[in-house]
Amino acid sequence: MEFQIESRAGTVSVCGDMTVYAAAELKTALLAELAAGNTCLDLSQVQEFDTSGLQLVLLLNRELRGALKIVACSPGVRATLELMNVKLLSEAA
Amino acid sequence: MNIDEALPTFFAESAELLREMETDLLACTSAAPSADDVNRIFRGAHTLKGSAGLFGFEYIVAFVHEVEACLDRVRLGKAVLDSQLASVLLECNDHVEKLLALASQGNTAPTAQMLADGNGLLKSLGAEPKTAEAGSAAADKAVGAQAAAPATIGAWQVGLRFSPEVLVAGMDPLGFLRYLNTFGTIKDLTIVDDALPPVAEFDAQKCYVGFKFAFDTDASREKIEGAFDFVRDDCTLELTPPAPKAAAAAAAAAASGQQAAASANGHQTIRVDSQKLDGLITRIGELITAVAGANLVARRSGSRDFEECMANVTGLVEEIREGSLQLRMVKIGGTFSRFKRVVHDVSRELGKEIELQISGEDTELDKTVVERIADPLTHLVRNAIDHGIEAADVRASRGKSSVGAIKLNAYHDSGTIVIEVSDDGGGLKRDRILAKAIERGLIDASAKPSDSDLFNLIFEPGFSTAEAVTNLSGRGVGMDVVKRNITALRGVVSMKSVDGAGTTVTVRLPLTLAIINGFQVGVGSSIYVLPLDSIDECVEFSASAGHDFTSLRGEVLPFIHLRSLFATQAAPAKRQSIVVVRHGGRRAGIVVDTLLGEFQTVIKPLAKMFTRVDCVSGSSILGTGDVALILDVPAVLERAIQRSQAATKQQPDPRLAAVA
Repeated sequence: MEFQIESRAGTVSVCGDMTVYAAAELKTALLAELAAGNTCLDLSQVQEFDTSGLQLVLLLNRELRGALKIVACSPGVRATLELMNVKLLSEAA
Repeated sequence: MNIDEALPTFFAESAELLREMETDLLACTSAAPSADDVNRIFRGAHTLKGSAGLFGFEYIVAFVHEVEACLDRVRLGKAVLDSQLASVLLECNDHVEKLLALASQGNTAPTAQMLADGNGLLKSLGAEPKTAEAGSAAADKAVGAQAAAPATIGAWQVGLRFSPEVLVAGMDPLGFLRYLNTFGTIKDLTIVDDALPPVAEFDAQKCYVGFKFAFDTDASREKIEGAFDFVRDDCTLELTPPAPKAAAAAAAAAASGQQAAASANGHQTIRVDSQKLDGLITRIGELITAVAGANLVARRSGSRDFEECMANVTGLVEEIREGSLQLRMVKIGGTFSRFKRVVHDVSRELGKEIELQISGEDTELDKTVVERIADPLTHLVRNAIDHGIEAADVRASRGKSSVGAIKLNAYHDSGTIVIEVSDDGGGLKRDRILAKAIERGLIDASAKPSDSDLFNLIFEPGFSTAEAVTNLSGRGVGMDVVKRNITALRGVVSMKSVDGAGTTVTVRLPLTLAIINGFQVGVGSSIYVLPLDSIDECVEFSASAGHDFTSLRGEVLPFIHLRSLFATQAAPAKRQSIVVVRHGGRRAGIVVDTLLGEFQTVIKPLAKMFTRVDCVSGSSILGTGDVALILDVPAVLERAIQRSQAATKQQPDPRLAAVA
């Protein structure tokens, strides 16, 4: 297991790597959280973030019809999201 | 690539850009421009600057840079592109044209005069005037960047897609983008996620996304492509070089250059050396002659299969002929829009308010004709403004709108293109022209010429003096030159005018100078060709003896015997026919022995010693190898009408006037 997931008050925190190695399990886990009504992501504990991670974020956002919020993220994730022009970071993050 | 080879392309493209900018700027003088218009002009200037830099024309870069900066201010809403600014920008356009002309002569620095002119213009643009040093210093910087990075200013457009398996293969697309960012800047990235499947089918280990972005770098194409070497098989990379593409596109047009230029006008074009086209047309001419010969053999052989094959071949050759002649056809709109500028300038100069109305700009004609008709047309338009349109107060007193109108119109008519230049000005003064003509000895004092005959005298050299112009308050400047140019193109020019209401000059030109649809007729053993487009109909010959006219459904039709025109010795056939030809609204008959039908006819010019032969416009080689003469329909028609008029002097027939 290369990641851990915790959810509290609508926010899902991911700790570990969001890479292709964990992508399949991450997908299942995150979609389950989504179904439980947790629509915010805290990525501040994410170390590695690759294309599969990005795709997952896009997928979740699509499922939520664009309502996904990333409330916090690590510097690495932030750099990637900025490069990708993905505007899901909430202003506080 | 040798950069010198791309130079002609640079000049051609720059001229095109300037022309487009001019058109847009002219539009701005009459109506407030939209954001799109401003952007287009800006892009034009930007591209021009980039290309000029590429070829090391620093002084052009320095000048255009200020123009571009001014346009940028407009774009950002810091300045307004009103008619005044547009006029200054138009002058800047002209200045760039001059600079380009200088550059094309191989000069590396502008003359002091031109620099001063340029600075004057820049001042009125609101830019800091440049000293010679500052100008070239700025340019040096631009050129310095160039030297380090040939063919790259601005940003590359990159499109990137990966195969779904790329992630499993251990490659991370994001990694490549991060790597790109180490030698350039990725901007305006969009994730292409339309391939992202529904949740149920979403395999998190597959790559579904693609990327589109602008990449700002000095690196070469090779370096950018090199970044993707590891995933060469698992990705598709679309690279579009930065917009200023002159040199790169000239060389690598086939590979990558098509987009920018094409998308600007919405249709793709290929630049072809016109000599190649000429060569093609000449060879198609030979092909038509050869096919005619083969057809003849086929018919003689009596083999039906052979004849059928030849019929197929003939049909195809005809299509090829049409198609290849079409290649040379260009729309006259480009020439017409040049006159917007002429009208703008001349009307300013003279302080008259004039509106140019253009119609028929999609009418096509041969490129060589277009090139050679531009000057005479300019002359006609200038004349119309100068002498045709009255001053505003005169117009007001005549109850006309204070804005004068010049109309340019073009349309096709029986194998010719008709171009009309009309104005709603004062028209020609018949009495004064008549007096002048008699004074100059051009016509007899007792003569009563028709309006059209009289007005056409204006094209005589005797009328083209300045004195005549002021006296007549009409036209006259160089009209003989106009006529000479048009005649050289096998065209005719005529003039219509209504006193006080305006004047129309009509120019008729043949559509093409190379191959025509011909109609062959025989007299004795000789064969003659008439352009099919000029023929109305063929009727059986009938006339009372000694008359040079016959009745065609109740109308008088003057005719001429081809036999007597060319003094053919052979006895006339029992049943002769009349070919009714039309040109410029007049009709006449040509009496021939036999009608041979329609054939493709390649026009061969006559040798010099025959150029003075009347009624013959060229020759053609038939399938049999015989030579046929091509009749000059306007000349034959003129002669037929003159003859019958001369005859009616003795036997007046009032109905003839209606025909002639």
